[in-house]
Amino acid sequence: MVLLQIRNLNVYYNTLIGKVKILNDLNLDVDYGDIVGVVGESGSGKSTLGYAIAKILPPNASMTGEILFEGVNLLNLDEKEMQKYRGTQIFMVFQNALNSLNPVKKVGFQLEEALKIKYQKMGKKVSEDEIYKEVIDVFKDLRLPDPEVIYERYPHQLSGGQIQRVIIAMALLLRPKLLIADEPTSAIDVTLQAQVVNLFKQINQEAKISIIFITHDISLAYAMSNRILVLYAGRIMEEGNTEEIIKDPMHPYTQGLIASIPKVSKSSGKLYSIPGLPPSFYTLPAGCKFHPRCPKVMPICKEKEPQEVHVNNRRVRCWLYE
Amino acid sequence: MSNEVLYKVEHLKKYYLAYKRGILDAIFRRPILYVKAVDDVNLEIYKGETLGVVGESGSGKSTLGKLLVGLERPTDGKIWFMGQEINKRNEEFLRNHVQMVFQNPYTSLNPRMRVKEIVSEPLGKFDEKAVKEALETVGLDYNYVKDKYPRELSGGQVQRVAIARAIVRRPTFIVLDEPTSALDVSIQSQVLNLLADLQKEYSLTYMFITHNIGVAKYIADRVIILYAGKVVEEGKTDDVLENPMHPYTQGLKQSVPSLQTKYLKPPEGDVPSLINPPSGCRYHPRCPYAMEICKQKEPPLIPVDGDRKVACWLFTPHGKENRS
Repeated sequence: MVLLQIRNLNVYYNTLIGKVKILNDLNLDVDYGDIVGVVGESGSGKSTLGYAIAKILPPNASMTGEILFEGVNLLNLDEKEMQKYRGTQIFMVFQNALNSLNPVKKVGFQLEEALKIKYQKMGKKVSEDEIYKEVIDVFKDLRLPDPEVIYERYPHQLSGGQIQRVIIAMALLLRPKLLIADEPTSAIDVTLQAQVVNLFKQINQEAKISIIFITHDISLAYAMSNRILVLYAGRIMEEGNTEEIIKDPMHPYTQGLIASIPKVSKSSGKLYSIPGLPPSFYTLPAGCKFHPRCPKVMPICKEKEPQEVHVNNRRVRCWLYE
Repeated sequence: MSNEVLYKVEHLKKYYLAYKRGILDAIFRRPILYVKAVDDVNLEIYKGETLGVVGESGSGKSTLGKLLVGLERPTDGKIWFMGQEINKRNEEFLRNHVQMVFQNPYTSLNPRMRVKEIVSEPLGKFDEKAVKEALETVGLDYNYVKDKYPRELSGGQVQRVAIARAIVRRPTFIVLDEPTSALDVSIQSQVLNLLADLQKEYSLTYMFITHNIGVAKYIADRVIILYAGKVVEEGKTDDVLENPMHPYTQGLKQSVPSLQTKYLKPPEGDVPSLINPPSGCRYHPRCPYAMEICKQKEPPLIPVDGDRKVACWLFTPHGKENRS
């Protein structure tokens, strides 16, 4: 069952030097219960993809194509109709969770507010006591210590891991169908990161929430997702089953990303690194966008951009496979 | 790596005041609260090695680095550098030989200075030859970068400038405080390769602070694991990170995502408060093997087979008696 279908999505930013294309002809299906890991370097367009689905791009952005959420094209909805989807259907978790809470309201108040809005949208009348109980129950589910105390706290009084759990509590209360997590763990420690990753997996299994997990760390995407999407310069370079991509990466860029992870010690030789830098969107190279950094570059790569090809239930954009 | 000791640190402590004390606090004799960032750390750093310092945020790893380069003065404890005890009078001597590279190069370099000014600043005067050599050593084109501001360069390039600034005076010892954690993986490996090359070329000694076990495994010869201001395990990198003994090191290792396993098993709970750390062993509230003695007495850092040390009651003869 398909929850989200993205068809030929293009995202542009209007800048002083003209219109810049960030996402280029992107196609993606997210099924119910899927966890899709979106991997790429900084500036590859992975956050833009998340913002585009939730339609919270900055005002100078424009989109063409289709984003079908349960068959409804989100691009045709106006702001008021889109409000019905945000939060209750599509929920977004940001890198710095502290910034997504109101600093002058208590944590409990903000969770109750979210829940009240959800019931309002559903047209249901629920008493204050029931709402309070529901919030406390979710805190208990997430193993937050002393739920009643946390309820009365302000965001700045909580630690990074607790804040991230409060946001996940909000997601659990609202039960969205799709959760977009944009680098939710890069501001917290490894042990907390692992706890948060396990929580995401838990809510995916128990509440059947589909997740789009955006990260720059391919090993984190491996731990988290069942499908991986590798983005480079706003294009899908490789997409497929997580296990298969990690065991047998096909695109040279994916191979490079995996080889760059330090595994051995310096006495056993140099670390592999992808030469060069990711390109700027103003000056994208001709042909394949990865060719200046690619170890397997061929003459055709410099002239024509490869199309996505399907190779055993995977999508790859590389001339090696055409 | 030699057996010559470059740094020797004994009972090093750094306490910060948790709250600013006003006159009323003094009148009402409210207790003075300290944040115990580094609490009783003993270590030795040998010439030519890389000592990895691994821990979560709030474990005191950056404070330890700052203490060693003289950016902070210890509350208590002694530091010997090249055989000399460091105190207020000979700080200059220490500062002539050590340098530090910080995590975020955009905030550690002056945004209003050009690259050539940044790199020549430690020299005290502009010496084009030295600046050019330093920038070329870190793999930057001198003519291309010399008149640029940090904001005009990419993250990897700016971190190279910060490294060039650190090596321009030919230091003996550099503290690298998470120099790659703000960078993408592909750029991270370029910087790590550069650091390993520089170490060979100039026979430098590094202290490499990181929370990334993979990075520590690559760059470090020996590692210490810090938890809440204390050393919980110390030893050769391969020994400690392949076969961790302390339950915290084990938990840390199982929290790091890798391509070998899909399942993470992090320790439960949160990092403890440093103002009022747990009694006994500081890890006991999160430890799966916690025993009675762990709550009462703090385990000493004791040597186990060779140059490996661990602070856990599981590995002391005394602790074994208590377990049964």
